[in-house]
Amino acid sequence: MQSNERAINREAWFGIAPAVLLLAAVQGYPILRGIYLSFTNTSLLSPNRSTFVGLRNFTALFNLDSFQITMVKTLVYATGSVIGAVVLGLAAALVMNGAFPGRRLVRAMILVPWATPQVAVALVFVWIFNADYGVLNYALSSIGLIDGGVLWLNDPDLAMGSVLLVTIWKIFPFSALVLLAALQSVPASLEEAARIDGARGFAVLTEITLPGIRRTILVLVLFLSIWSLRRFELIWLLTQGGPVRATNTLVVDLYRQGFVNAHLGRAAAIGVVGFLASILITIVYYYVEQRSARRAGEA
Amino acid sequence: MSFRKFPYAAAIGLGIAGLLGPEWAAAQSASPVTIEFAAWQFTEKGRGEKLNALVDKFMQGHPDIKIEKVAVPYPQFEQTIFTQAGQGAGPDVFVLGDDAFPKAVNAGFFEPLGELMDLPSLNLTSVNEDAVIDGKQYGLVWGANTYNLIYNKELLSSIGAKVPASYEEFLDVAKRLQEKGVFAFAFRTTSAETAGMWYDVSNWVYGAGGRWAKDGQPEFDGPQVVEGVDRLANIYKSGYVPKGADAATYRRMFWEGKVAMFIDNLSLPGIIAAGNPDMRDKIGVARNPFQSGDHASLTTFIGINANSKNKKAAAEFMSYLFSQEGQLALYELLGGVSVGTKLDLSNNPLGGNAPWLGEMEAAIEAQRAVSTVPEGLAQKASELRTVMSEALEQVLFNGTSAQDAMKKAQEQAKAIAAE
Amino acid sequence: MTGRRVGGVARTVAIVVMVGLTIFPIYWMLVTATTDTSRLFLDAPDLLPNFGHLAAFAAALDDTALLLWLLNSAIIAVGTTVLTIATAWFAAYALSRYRFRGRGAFGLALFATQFLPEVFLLVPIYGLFLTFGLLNRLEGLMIVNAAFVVPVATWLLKTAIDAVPREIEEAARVDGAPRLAIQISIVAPLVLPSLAAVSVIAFFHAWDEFVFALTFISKADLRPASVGIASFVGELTTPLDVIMAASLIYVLPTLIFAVFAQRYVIGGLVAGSVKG
Repeated sequence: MQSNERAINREAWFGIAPAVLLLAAVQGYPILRGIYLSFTNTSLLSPNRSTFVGLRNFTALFNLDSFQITMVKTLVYATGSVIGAVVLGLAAALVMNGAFPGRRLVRAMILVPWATPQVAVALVFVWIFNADYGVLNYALSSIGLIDGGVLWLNDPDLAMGSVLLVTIWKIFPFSALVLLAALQSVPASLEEAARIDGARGFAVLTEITLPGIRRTILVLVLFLSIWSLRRFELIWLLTQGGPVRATNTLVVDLYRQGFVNAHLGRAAAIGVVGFLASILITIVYYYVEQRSARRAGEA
Repeated sequence: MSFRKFPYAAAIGLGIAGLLGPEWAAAQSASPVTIEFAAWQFTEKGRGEKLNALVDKFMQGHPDIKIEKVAVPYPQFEQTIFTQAGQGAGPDVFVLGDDAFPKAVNAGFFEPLGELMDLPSLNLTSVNEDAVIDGKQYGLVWGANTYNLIYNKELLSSIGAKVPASYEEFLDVAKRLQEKGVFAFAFRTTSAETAGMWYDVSNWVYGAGGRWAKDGQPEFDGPQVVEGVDRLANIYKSGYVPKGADAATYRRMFWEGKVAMFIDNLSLPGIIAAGNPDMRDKIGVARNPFQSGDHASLTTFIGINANSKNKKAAAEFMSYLFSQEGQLALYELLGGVSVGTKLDLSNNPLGGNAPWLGEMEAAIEAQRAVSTVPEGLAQKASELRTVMSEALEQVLFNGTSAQDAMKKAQEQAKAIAAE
Repeated sequence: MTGRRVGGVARTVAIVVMVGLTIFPIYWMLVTATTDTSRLFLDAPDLLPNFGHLAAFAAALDDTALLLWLLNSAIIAVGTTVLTIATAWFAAYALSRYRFRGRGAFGLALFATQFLPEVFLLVPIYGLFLTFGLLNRLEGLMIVNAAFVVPVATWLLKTAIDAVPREIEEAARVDGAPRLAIQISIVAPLVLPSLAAVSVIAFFHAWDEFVFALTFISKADLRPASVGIASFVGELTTPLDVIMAASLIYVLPTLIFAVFAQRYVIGGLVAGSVKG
C-alpha cells in the first residue's frame, strides 16, 4: 500500500505541476510581495526601496472617513450587481427554458454582453449616457419621463446606479446561462406533478423550481460577489471612481492610490482589506450553504 | 512511462525559453541600435501622423538608429511610464508634463543632459530653466503651452458682442449667448479628467489673482482662490456649460458651432481647424477675460531615461529634435505652441493655415504665465490635484459652497504637504 | 428539457424586450459608427444606421493599426486558451481522479486566487516579468492571462471529469493503454462541452484584458486591440465615429465565437454547476 500511495501521489503531483508552477510564479509570489508591500511605505517610482512601517497604512486607512465611504460603495456595488445579475439572469433563464422557435438565436444574443470587451462597453455607454446628446436622455424625454439633460455619470446621486446598470448588463448573461443550465436539470416530472396537484405557476416556481437550483444560486452568488470586488476596468473607464467618490470601490481606490498617487504601500493595504473581505464573504457563504442544506434536508 | 514526464518537461522548457530567449535574441541583433520613444501625441489624429513623419525623417538620416514609437494613451501615460521606469525599465526617450516631471527627476528617472548633448549650442528659451534641478538639466522643453480664451468670432459677432475683457463682461456675453441657444463656455467636469480640471480651474483662480501655494504651503482657502472657484461654479450652475461633456466632446461641439468660447491650450486652434476647415477663419484667440492678467502655463518636457541602455543613440535623437529642422517640425506639429528653442519664424511653416497666430502672440504678450504646479509642492502635484477636483465636484454637483469646499480641501492639502 | 408554458404572448414580449435591451448597445455602436460627426450633436439623434456612410470603418482600418492590433489580440487569446487548457486539464484530472497528499491545500489555493484583484498584483508581476525578460512579449501576456483563468478552468473541468464514470477508464487500462492516452483520447472527448466552455472563458478573458497589456507592452506593433482602441481617447480629441467603428470590428470575433459556441458553453456550464 505504501508504494502504491506514493505512486499515486507522484502521478498526481506531475499532473498539478504545471498549474502549481504557473500559479506560484504569477500569483503566489506577487501575492506575498503585495502583502509585504502593505506593511511598507513604498512608492511606485521606486518599488524596490521599501521602509517597513508596520500597521501604519492600515490604521491610516481606517481613520479616513473617505475609506469608510469606499467600503460602503463597495458593499453597494457588490450587492447591487449580484442581486441585479441573479434576478435578471433568473428571469432570462426562466423565459428561455423551454422550446420555442428561435431559441438558439435568442440564447446566442443573450451572450452578446458577455462577449463585448470592457473597453468597448465603457466607450459606448459613456456616449449613451451623454447628458445632452445621448440616446438614453433622448428616449426618456421623448416619452416624457424626464426633462432632458440628466447627468447619468456625473451626478453623484446617479453615478452608482448607472455603473450598476452597465455592470448588470455585462454580467447577467453569465448568470442566465448558469441558471438555465441548472433549471434544465430540475426534473420536469417534479414540476408536472405539482401542477397536476393544482399548484399555480408562481407557487411551482417558489416551491419546486427554486429550491431545486438552490445550490447553484448560492454558488453563483458567491462567485459574483467575489468577482464584483475585483471588477476594475469597467468602473475606471466609466467614472474613475467619481464623481465625488460616488463609485469609488475598493479596487478603484487601490488603483488610484497606487498608480495615480504612487503610494504602493497604501494601495497594497487596500488590496489586503479587499482580500479579507472576500474571505469573509466565503465564510458567510459556507454558513448560509450549510444552513439551507440542513433545511432542505440534505446535510 | 515517458508520458508522465511530459508536463514537467514542458514546464522546464518554457522556463528555459523564457530565461534565455531575450539574451539569444539580443545576441542576434548587432546593429542597428533600437531605442524606444514614448509620447501620447502618437495617438492624436493630426498630430500623430506628423510626429510619425518626424521620427521617420530622423531614421532616414540615421540608418544606424531605429526608433520604436510607443503610443501610450494620454489618460494612462503617467502611470504606465512610472510603473515601467520604477522597475528600471521604460522607454529610452519620453515626454512628461510639468506636473509629473519633478517627481520623475526625484525618483531618478531622467538622465542629466549636460554630458550627452551640446546644450549651449541649442539656443534654448528661458522656460528650459524649469527643467534644471540642483544645477543639472534633466530635460528640455518639448512645448511651452499656455491657456487662453479661444472663441468663435462668428457667434460673438452674431450677438454684437466684443471679446469679453473681464469677468462681468464675460457673464453678460454668456447670458446673451444662452438666449440665442448656444453654450457660452465649456470646461472639464467629468471625473475621468481630473488633470484637465486642474488646468481649467487654475486659470480661473489665477484670473481672480489667487495662487495655489506659497513657499511650499498650500493656500487652497485663500480668498482669491475661493473667488475663482466660485466664479467657475457660477458659470456651470447658470447653465452656460454643456454638462457632463468631456473635453473631446465639447471641443467637437465647438467646431460644430455649439459652444462659443473656452479657455484652453494653444494646440486647440489647429485641432479645431483640422476638425472643421470652415472654422479656420472664425477662430479667435484672446487673453483670458480676467483683470489680473495671469494665465496658466502647461509645459511638456522631454528627456532621456536614466536607465536607458542606449543613451548615446537617445541623445542623437534628442539633438535632432532640437535642431532647427526638428524644432520647426515640432512647432508645426504642436500648432504654433512655443518650442524649446528660439525659432527663426521668418518662414513660418504654419503660414496662411493659421490666421490666429497674430492674435495668439498678442494674447501671450498681454499676460503673465503661471505654472499650474503649486509653488514648492512639485512632488505632491497629482495628489493635490485629486483633492482639488473633489472639492470642485462637491461645489458643482453637491451644492456645497465654494468657501466650505475649499476649506476642507485646504485641510487635506496641508496634510498632504506635511507628509 | 422542461417545457414551460408561461403564456405564449407574455413570453414573446419578454423575450423581445430582453433581447432588445441586451443587444441595444451594440446596435448603438453601429449607428454611431455610421453617423457623420456633424450629425452627432443634434437635438434628436439619428436612430438608424446609415449604411451609406461607412467612412469611419475605412478610417478605422486604414488610418490606424487596428488590423495589427486584432492580430495581436488573436495571438494572445489563442495562446492563453492553449496554455490554460494544457495546464488546467492535468490539474483537473489529478484533482478528480487521485486522492493525493496536498489535494485539499491545492484546491483551497486555487480558490484563494479568486480573491485578489488583478491590479493589486500589477507591480509585483511587472517586476517578475522584467527579471525574466517577459515584458514586451505576447507570451508574457499569455502567461498572465492563463494564470488568472486556470483556477476557474480547473474547477469547471474537474466537475466535468467527476461525471465521467471511472469504469470507462478502468476498462481501457486493463487493455494496457497508457494513462496519458486514456486522458486525451477517452476522457477528453466525453467532456468536450466543458472544454469548449473553458476555451470560451479563456479566449474572452484574453481578448478583453486591458490593464496588464497596457503596462507590459510598449512596442507599438505588439499592442493588442483593447489597448489600441483605448488609445483613441487622445489628449485633445476623440473621433467618436471611428472609435465606434473600431470597437465594432473589435467586438465581432468574440460575438461570432459566442454565437457558434453557445451550445457548448451551456453544456459545459451544466456539468460544472449542477454539482454545485
